[in-house]
Amino acid sequence: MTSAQGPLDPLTPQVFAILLALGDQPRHGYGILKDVEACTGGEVALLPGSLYSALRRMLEAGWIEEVEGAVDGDDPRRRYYGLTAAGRERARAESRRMSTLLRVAAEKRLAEQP
Amino acid sequence: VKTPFVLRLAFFLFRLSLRTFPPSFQRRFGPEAEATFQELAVLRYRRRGALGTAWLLLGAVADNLRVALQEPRSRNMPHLAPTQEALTMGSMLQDIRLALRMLLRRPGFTAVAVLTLALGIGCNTAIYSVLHGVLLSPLPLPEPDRLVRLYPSRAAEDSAAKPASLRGTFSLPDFRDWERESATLEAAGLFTTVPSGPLYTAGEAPMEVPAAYVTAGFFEALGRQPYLGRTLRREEELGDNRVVMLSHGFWKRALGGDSAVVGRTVQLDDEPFVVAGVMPPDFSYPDRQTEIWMFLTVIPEQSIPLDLRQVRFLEAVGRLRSGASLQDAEAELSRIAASLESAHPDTNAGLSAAQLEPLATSITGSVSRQLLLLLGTSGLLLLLACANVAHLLLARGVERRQEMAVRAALGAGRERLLRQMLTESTVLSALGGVAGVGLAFLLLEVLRPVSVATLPRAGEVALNAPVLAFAVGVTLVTGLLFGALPALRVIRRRTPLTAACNRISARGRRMNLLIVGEAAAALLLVLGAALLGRSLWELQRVDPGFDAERLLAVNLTINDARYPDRPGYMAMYRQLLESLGAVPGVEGVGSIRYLPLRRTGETLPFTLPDRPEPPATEIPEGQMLPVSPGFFRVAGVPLLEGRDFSTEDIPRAGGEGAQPPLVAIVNDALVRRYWPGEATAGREIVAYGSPVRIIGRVADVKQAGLDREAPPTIYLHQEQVPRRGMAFLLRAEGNPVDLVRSAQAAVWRVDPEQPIQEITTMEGLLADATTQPRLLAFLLSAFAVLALVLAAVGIYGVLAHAVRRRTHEIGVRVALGAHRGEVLGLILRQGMTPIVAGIALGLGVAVFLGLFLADFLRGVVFGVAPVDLPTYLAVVAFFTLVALLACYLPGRAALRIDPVRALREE
Repeated sequence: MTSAQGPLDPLTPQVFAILLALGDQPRHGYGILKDVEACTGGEVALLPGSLYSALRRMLEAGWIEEVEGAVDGDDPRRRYYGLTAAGRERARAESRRMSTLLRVAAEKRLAEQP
Repeated sequence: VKTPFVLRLAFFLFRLSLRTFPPSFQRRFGPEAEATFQELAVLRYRRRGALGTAWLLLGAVADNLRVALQEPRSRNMPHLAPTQEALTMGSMLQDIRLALRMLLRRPGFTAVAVLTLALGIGCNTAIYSVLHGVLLSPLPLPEPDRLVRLYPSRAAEDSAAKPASLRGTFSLPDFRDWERESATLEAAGLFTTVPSGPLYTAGEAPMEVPAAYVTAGFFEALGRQPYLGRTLRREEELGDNRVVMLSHGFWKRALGGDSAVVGRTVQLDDEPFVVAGVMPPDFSYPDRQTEIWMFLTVIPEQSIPLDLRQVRFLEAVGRLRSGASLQDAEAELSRIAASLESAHPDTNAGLSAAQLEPLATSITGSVSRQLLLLLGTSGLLLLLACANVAHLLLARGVERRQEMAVRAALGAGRERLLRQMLTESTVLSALGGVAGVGLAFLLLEVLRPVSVATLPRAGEVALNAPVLAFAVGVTLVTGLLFGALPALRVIRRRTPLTAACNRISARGRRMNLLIVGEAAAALLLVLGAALLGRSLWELQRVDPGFDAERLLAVNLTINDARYPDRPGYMAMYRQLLESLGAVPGVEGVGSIRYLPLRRTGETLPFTLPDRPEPPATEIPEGQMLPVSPGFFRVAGVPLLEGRDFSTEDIPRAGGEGAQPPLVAIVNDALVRRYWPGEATAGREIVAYGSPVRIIGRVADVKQAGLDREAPPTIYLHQEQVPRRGMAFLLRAEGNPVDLVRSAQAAVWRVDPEQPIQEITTMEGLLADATTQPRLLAFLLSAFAVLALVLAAVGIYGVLAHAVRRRTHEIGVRVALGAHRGEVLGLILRQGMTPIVAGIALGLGVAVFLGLFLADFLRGVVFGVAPVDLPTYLAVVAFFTLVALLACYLPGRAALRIDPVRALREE
């Protein structure tokens, strides 16, 4: 698997969930895991290995960047990640794509009206 | 606060699994990932404890391994760069690669070792898979531990021992009483099987379907859900009981697997039966042959009076209430049996107890000994294989001492060297294991067709997960077994470099111990095979009591539905006898109820009028078999006294007026028991409530199998005691196989719709009777031959190696004037000393096993004592000969040593 994902390719649930988790504020790895779990009710399974593999690909794609965020008493190993403009745009595009799909699904009575 | 051990272990294992990522990834994200995992784990530990943490760890490690494989690895970065000597995955991989390289560099050595191990592991895996399928895996029925066979029984004198010989069968009224009064049984049902049951004519050819007649409790007790439809219902049993369950096989073959079959009717014996359901493909109880199950109550009253308490031929299976033990149930049912005995003294005398047996035991009981014996012997074979590979490794360890010493001098720690040697042996055993599983697969393919006829549950034998787990376990243990010795040698060496430079003069004492063990194990195996071989020989020498040569048997049952009354089917019988006798090439024809070697006849209690009335429990019994006049002459059973049946004994037509009295011919076993040494003809016994005159005495015929003594037997005239099922025996003038077609035609000339169950030669039947012991003897002999070869090769290898090492010493001896005989004696002594010790050890173990497992062995061997002196002597002599040969070859090599060259080489 490579990091070369075109802008129109659907994102994996994990990558999309990470983008969403970073949408409001920069977080460290453990924070991302907690937020993803809380937002998806545990439906998106994310463990450290897949998390950092995804973060590596997103860093290389320029969707996220490392930011300052450490507070006093933090574990020195922690690093914080925030969305770049490209990442924010990618998350928006994915959301649009999904809401389009959701609308179609609702019209065909496969989902509730958004 | 100290971190709990579980968490520290989890942290460590997670860190270890991170090493599977490419180094660049590890450097960039490793510490972070660890921190994140630690936070997750701490939280999980607080909420869910150690078990929850373990689950998290398992998931996280699996996730790491999966993701790490997909992470791109840059070419210029060596992704295996162990920086420390710790046991890391990277360094383990390195060890394995090194081990593979070492093994590939010596292809001959590797091939021999892998092949040896494959033999050992393969035989064990194959035998274990049979053992697992037949004995260990639970029956394919829900909660099989609660299923039991029930037997009414005579009370045992010794209450602890409950011999199976006391077990009886049920009558329907007795069973109903047990069923009603028992509190320990959740459900219980009766069954009886008929190999040729109702006639089914809607198929391609008329066939008599093998049937089981059951009560409603049968399916309730077994508890197996049907494949289609439902099982037989209790309320149908006494009402509209024309319903039938089909086996999966019958449904597929006869009804084309029609899924809409439930509720339809099939014609059985020209009567409509509603199909209740179809059982699953792996349901085969009571018999593998059973094709349909129907209610016992469909049997017409006039053919079997089921309501009579003395009509006992039914078998029972039950399910214990959960929590009830077998002992509880047995005690309770014995009380019920005892109360029935006092309530019905005329019919139930003697049947004052109950015996229970786990269902699984009752299905596989007869072969468990053989299988355990085979597993034991294949285990010995594996030990031999291990010993041989250990020899090879030890010998190579000597050659590699230089290499090890150099590596140690270059800084490799002792642990590192040890680990590498163990890795090598594990890799070797893993290769052997893979090849062994392949071999096991082949072995099973070869054995399967042979074993289906002789092995219960043969269909459940497969190389499945538990068997493969066994193979993996055996492989690992094997690797440790043969790897431990050479590895220990490496680390014991204090100063490797100097030791390697010293010429080795110490004797390989550990090798000698290996030879002792190997000789003992091989001797044991050969002894076992020899005992079984003798046993088979004895079995084949047994006089079956008849002359099987040129004898053809035609087995059939005259159908109830087509010939409902006695005059009808007896007329049919006489026509069949006449028609078969008229076949060209037939010298004579006779009939008997059951073929010899197949099964015993009906049990017939009788009394002797000239003796005092015995107590109810000691009434004499014999097996009763109706035969035709001329049967004994045709079958070649010698008439020892008196005369054969004749037409004068036949009841007169019409059946009115004075009928001739019942006449009987008895066998020698009966005479030996009741009138030893006295004349028999003209005596009387009382059976069926009337006097029976004995007109003759014949030699014993093995009726239940070659290894069973003939029971006291009473032959009655088929015309006086008619039965529907019978076997016609035809004595051919030439080859009996040539008569098969014309015999068939002769039956069909009488009635073209009469099914024939079986046509077989009696010689074939005789061969079938020894199939199982032959298979066992063959397998054990094969193991023994392998063991002998392994042991001989092992002994040869060790001695040849010793001669090579002692070249210098022998050279000196020869130079100093030693004779050839002395040199040869030296080598033979060195070789034979541990072998003689091994023979003594093997004999000791054999005698010990023979004495302490005598009962076990008596169930396996026939006609040979477990400790049989002539067999032992022959085996020891043969074994010594083989060992001498294995020692002589290296000895001869020693003789060729040229002292001048040997000394110069030093």
